[in-house]
Amino acid sequence: MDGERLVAIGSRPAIGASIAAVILFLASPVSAQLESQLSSYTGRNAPGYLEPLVDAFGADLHAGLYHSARIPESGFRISLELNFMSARFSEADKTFTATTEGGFKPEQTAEAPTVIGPSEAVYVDGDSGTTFAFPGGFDLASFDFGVPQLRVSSLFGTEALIQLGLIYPGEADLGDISLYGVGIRHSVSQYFNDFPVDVAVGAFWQRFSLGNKDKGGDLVSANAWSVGIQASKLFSRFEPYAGLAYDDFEMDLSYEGDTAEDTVEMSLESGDHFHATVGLSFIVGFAALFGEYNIGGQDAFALGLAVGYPSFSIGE
Amino acid sequence: MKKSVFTVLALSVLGILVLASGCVYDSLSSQVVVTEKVNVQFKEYRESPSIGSVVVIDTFKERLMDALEENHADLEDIETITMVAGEYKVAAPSKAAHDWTVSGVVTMRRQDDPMGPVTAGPATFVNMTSQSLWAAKGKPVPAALNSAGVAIVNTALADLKNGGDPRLIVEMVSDNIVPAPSPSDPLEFSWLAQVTFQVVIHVDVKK
Repeated sequence: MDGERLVAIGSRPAIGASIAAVILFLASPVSAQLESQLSSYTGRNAPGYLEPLVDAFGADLHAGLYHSARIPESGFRISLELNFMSARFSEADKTFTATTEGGFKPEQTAEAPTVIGPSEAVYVDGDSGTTFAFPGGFDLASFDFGVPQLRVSSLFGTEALIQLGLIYPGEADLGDISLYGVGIRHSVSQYFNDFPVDVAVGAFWQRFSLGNKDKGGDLVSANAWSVGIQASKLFSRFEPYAGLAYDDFEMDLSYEGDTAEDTVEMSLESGDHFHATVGLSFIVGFAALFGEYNIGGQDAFALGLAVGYPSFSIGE
Repeated sequence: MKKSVFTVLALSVLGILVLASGCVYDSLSSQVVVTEKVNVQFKEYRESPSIGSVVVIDTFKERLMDALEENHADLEDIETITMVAGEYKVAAPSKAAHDWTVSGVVTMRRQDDPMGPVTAGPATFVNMTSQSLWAAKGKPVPAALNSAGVAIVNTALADLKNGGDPRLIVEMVSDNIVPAPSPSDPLEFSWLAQVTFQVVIHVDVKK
């Protein structure tokens, strides 16, 4: 959670903005409530309120992108994978230092719940019997979602990864929703004879967007970049793997403030830029089950299953 | 061996699908804070150094019901309703080439039935001391609130929770306008008073 955070806040004419948050993945009614929570924050508190979710979303997106560094020099290989990613929240993620808004006097700060914090609102007393309430959170222990991906190789020791989101739009009229990503990895160890482990480098890009373009554009858009190096070693059915990556995650939000004429726009950038991965694949012919732990500013784990052709054991 | 391996794989697939479906978030709840603003506008035309304007605020219930509807909530879901702030601004400034300063008080009283008795107040709601009209143009100015007037507003807001439909009367009284308006230099402007209140609603989020 610590780290530099860039925030830009501005206003523009209302675009009929509705919900603005990635919590869509949890359940669409939550999204609708989150808009209400955010509407009581005109911008200054919103980044702090959303910060754990932004970091967790970024950590989840950067998890489960590979489960081996073995990329054959040539030959066709395809695998369909289903990933489940989860970022666990710490106690420190549950509150942030919020500042009263909206003409409340005197201005005060308080430890208020973040979006994943306690569900109870926090009150502070002001001048002459006035009271300011900071909204509660949703009391979440983790932020989880699943995403399927397709992996295709190999051309000169290079493979491609395509992700398509697993989205639950529910009944809410949230506009167009999309989550997709692409990645490319290249085997480095192919250039060395009898190299003791497989090594690859890769780059991945993912984009999430939510909104009604007929009404002025995306309400939420997020871009995630990750470049890194991975290594793995196959031992019979087991293949431990590890990696280091540099990440970048930025999310733009747009939502209604206190009034429909007051649309709040902001850009949030995750302060977490490096993460390490340790994982283990369990291979049974055409299937591979893999689990990994990602250590960074926000830790996350991923669990996945890949079904591919030819057998994952080839190349042993 | 092969059978047990495939059993593990099948269970893993099932586990991933269940987790990925978001079932773990079935029962979420939160205390939502909805911020509402009620505005009233005063129009002034004075040729003497005194103001005595009256406006009625009777839209609290309407604003509350809109907020509840937007959050799919009912009156019984309300935890608290309280006043957050009072602000004012000059909406249409005087066309005079000079500024004016106004000192006075804004009082608050409650009269739910227009033909019935005043049930609370009048009490001082805002103290205004040498307020420059030019300085109050555009951005709202936080009002110097008085606890007696705020108490009337808070009681009215609390009654909303019990189905009440409060009607408040706001009166601006000033006999100290500088420079003194006159028929040759009348004070003509309108100003907007704003009461901000927050409704804390308990919301259960179900998939």
